[in-house]
Amino acid sequence: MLICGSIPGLQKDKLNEWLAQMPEVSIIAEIEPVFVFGKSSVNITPEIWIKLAQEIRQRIDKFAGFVVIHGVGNVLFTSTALSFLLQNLTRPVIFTGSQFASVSEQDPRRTGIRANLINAIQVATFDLTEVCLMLGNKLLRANQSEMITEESLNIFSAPANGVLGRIDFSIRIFEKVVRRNKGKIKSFDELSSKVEIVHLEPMLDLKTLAKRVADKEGIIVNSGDYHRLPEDLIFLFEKITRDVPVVIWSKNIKAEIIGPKNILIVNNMTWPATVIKFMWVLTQSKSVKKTKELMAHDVAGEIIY
Amino acid sequence: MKIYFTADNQAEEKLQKRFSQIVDILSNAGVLVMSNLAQRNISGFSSQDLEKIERTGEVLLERVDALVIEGTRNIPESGYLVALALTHKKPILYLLENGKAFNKNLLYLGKDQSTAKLLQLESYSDADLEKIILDFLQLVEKGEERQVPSIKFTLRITPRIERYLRWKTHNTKISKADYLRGMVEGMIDNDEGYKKFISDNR
Repeated sequence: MLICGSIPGLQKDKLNEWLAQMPEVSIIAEIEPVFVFGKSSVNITPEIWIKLAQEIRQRIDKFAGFVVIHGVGNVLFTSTALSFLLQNLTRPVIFTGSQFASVSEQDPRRTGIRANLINAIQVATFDLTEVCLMLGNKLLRANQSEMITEESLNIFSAPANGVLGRIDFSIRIFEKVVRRNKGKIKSFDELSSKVEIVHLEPMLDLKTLAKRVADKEGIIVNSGDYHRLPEDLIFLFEKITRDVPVVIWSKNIKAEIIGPKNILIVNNMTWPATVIKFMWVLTQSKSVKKTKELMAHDVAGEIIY
Repeated sequence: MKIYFTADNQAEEKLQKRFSQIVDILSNAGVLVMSNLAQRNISGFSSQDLEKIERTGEVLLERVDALVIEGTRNIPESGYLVALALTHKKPILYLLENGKAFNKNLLYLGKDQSTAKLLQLESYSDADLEKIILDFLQLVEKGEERQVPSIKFTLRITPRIERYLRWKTHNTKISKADYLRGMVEGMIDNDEGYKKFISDNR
C-alpha cells in the first residue's frame, strides 16, 4: 500500500499505528505500507509519478497487488502516468482515496477512505494486470476515466469497456473487458518534460507561443469546443515548428481538414491519457512519423473504441 | 429486516442442506434473506432501489441490517465481506461447525475493542444452530444501529390525515414523522399477536 499524498491523521513515522486503527483490513491481506509523498497530492509532479512507478517496480515480484492512496483531484493524471510508466503489468495497481475532503462526525456514513480502501485491497488480491481506480461501487480502467460532477460516490466514470468491475454484495469483475498481459513488465523511468501544453482560446498570443515552443520536443493543444483551428496557429505549426510533432486533442475537429503533416488529431483518448502518452512517446522517438504511429497504437488500454 | 447470507455454494450436499436450513430459520423469523446461494441474490431490492444504489455509488451491503456467514468451507471473499460489513457497522454472525477452528485474524477481530461488538463468532451443532441464529437476530433488532430510523419508503396520505398530523404536532417539538414513528412503536409494544410471533421464533 503506497501512500501518495497527505491523509488526515497519518504521519510518515506512524504508518503502522494508522493501519492498526483499521484492524478489519488485516483479514483481507497482509499489508506493507510505503510512504511515497507526504504533502497534499495537489503538489504531485511528474517526478513523483516516476518515483511511485519505481517503488512499485522494485516490489513487483514480491506482492500480489498494489494499492495507492491518492487525493482525488489529480488522481487521473498520476494513475494514467503509471499505466504508461509500467506497461505490460503483471499485477493490479489500484488507486483509491476519499471522495470527501474531511470526514466529520456529521457525516452519517463516517466511512471516509475506509470503505474505498477495503474494496481496493480486495481488488488488489485479484488476478488483474491493469492500473485501476476503485471509488464508490465501480472499478475503472484509470487511463479511460474522467471525473463527473454528479452527486455520487462514483466521482469518476469510464466508457463501457473501461468499467472493469462493480460491487453489489461482492466484487464482480467483467472478464470480457479486462486486459490480460503476457510476458514481462516493461518499466520506464522517463517522460518528456519538453512538451508545450496549449489551451486554445481567443487570448492565445501566438508570438509568445512561437518563442516558447522553440526548444520543445512536442506541442499538445487542448482545442476545447473549437471546431477548427485558427489559421495563424496552423501557419505556426506548418512553417515555424514543422519538425515538431503537434497533437491536437479535440472532440470536434476532423483530421482531414488539417493540412500540416506534423499535426495529429486525437479524439479517442481522455485528456490526461493524451498528454501523458505524448510525454512517453517523445522519450521513444523524436521523429514525427514514429510519434504519430505510436500515438495511434494502443499502448496501455488507453484508446477508447 | 434484510440479511445477506453467504456460504460456499460449491460445498458438499450435507453442507448445502445446512445452508438451506439457515435460510429457512431466518425466513421463518420474518427476515428477508439475500444470499450468494440464490441465482438472483439482489431480489430484496426493487429495480428503483438498485438503480439508485448504482447511481449513488453505494454498495448493497450498506442497505442490509446484518451479515451471516457459514464458513465451514472456506469462502475466499468472506474476509472482504467481514471487513466491509465492519466498516459499515453491520452486525456479523460467523458460523462454523463444531470442531472447526476460526481463522486467527477473525479471532483477533473478535477480541478487538472496535470490532468485537459487531462480530459474533459461533461454533454450532445441529442442536443449537437455531438458537444461535435467533439470538443473533434479537441482538440485531435491539442493537444500537437498529435504533436509528434509516429505512425510507414513500407513504401517501390523504388531506384529512395530513390535517390531523399538522394539528397533532402543531406547537410541539416533534415532527409529523416522529409522531407516526411513535404511534407504530406503541402499536408494536401493545400487539400481543406480534409478541407471540417473536417469542415462537426465538
